[in-house]
Amino acid sequence: MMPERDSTTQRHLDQLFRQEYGRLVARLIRKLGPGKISYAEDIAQDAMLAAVRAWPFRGVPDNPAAWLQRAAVNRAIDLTRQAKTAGDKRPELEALANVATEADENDLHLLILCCEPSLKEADQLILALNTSFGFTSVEIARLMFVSPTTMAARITRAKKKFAALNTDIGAPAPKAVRRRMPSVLKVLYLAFSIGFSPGAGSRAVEEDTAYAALNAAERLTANGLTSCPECNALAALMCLQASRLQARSKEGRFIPLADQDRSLWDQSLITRGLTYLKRSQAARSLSRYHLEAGIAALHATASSYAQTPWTEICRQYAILEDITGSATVTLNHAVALAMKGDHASAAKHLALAARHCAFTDQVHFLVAKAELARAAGNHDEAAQAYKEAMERPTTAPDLLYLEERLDSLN
Amino acid sequence: MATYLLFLHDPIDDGPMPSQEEFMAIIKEYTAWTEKMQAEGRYLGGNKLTDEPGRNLTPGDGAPIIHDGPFTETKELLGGYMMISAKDYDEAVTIAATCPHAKYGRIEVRLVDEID
Repeated sequence: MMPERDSTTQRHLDQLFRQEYGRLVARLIRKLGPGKISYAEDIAQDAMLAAVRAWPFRGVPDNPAAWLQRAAVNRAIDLTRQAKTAGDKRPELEALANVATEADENDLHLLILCCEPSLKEADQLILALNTSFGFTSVEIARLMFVSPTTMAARITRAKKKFAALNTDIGAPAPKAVRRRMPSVLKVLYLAFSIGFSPGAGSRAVEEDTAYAALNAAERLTANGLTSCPECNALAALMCLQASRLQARSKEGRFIPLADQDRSLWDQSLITRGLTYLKRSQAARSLSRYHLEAGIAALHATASSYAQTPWTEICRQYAILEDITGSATVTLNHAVALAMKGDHASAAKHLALAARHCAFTDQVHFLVAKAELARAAGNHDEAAQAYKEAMERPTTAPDLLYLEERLDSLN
Repeated sequence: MATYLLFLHDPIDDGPMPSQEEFMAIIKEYTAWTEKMQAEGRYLGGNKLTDEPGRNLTPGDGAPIIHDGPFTETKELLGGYMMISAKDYDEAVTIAATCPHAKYGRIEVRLVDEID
């Protein structure tokens, strides 16, 4: 008899495959070394292919993760056997056969491994997002404002460089781990933002992705080796933002902060976030995560949109802008300034953000432009910007929202 | 309602390995279809067969002849079967046409003869 399943299985399958792919590769690299990353990925892909071919007949297994792990192990064993028969005595193939007996270790290990200091930071991020989190080149491309083809090539190059390293794959020494934390945190930050704001597809949020990143951040704070004030700040930020995930869409339409039903905000996540925020104050200097978490806390603790402390939020954005020099931050600052009622400063910051040339083509920029124009009473300019925004790649719920915003201008 | 067997044949040539995006799309497609069939109460079961041609026995002089491997030179291999519930061939074929496998390989549809 076939087990009963609801359609959320679909969504969870996406997340499952991402997660398991990363875990499988991690396990194999741990046995074989970073030099065998392609081999490890081939085996992981074989396991996924096996699932694609087998699951249609009997349905998704009760424990899909375990099934995939077993499929990968079987494949590894097959390959070892084949190699033995062919007289191939490479020792790493022996190691493969032992994969079956290994307990599932901390799967943050691969994430930490990918953040290899001798690689450029961009390569570390790309590698970790792709290998450890299972994000595709299309998704990573969207995050970094490049084309998917460019990103696919970058991923290939990053993997080659990683494979060329002759690193000892044992656990990195404590100092080495701490040295990697800035990159590790950045990866998790980016992964969470994909979940919070997917940028494409039919869903306003990808909760599973967001929670996976959040979960990883929380585990890092609980581990003496990796815990640090920035880590707590990042965990705070993620908890506070995740508290709004359910409220961000309704009936297939994106709901912005201003219109969200705050009774849908997860109060336990907010409390958890504020606790992490408190813990993160034991810092020598403020990181961007501290500031972003602070801003998120100001939103989360406001009883209504009207009660939002915009002045304080703008103050924090100003500091954040100084630290990061990020166009996105400048843009968010512009929006906050408009909400505060300072339209002149808002326009100035919008122009500043516009100086990043790749950015003005992005839907976020165009929507902000539209909203700022609207708030300042320039309805023609707003309408034009909404229309341009709607032509950019974005999620279906976002599109519905934009249509409504455009219509309501009249 | 009658029982129809769907025999899913796989073409033998190895195509290129799908990309990660394609994997996700394929998995979603298949599971969505199977879940829909289950929800409609149409899916009676199925099995994937192992990826080798198995054995063939043909009548021989005195004892059956055992063939190891494919019986004839075909460009496909039976990958698995499914049993679905449908009222007639038209319905069974319509259902089979929606199965994602129909895009990649041949589906043979046969009616189980109910002899009571």
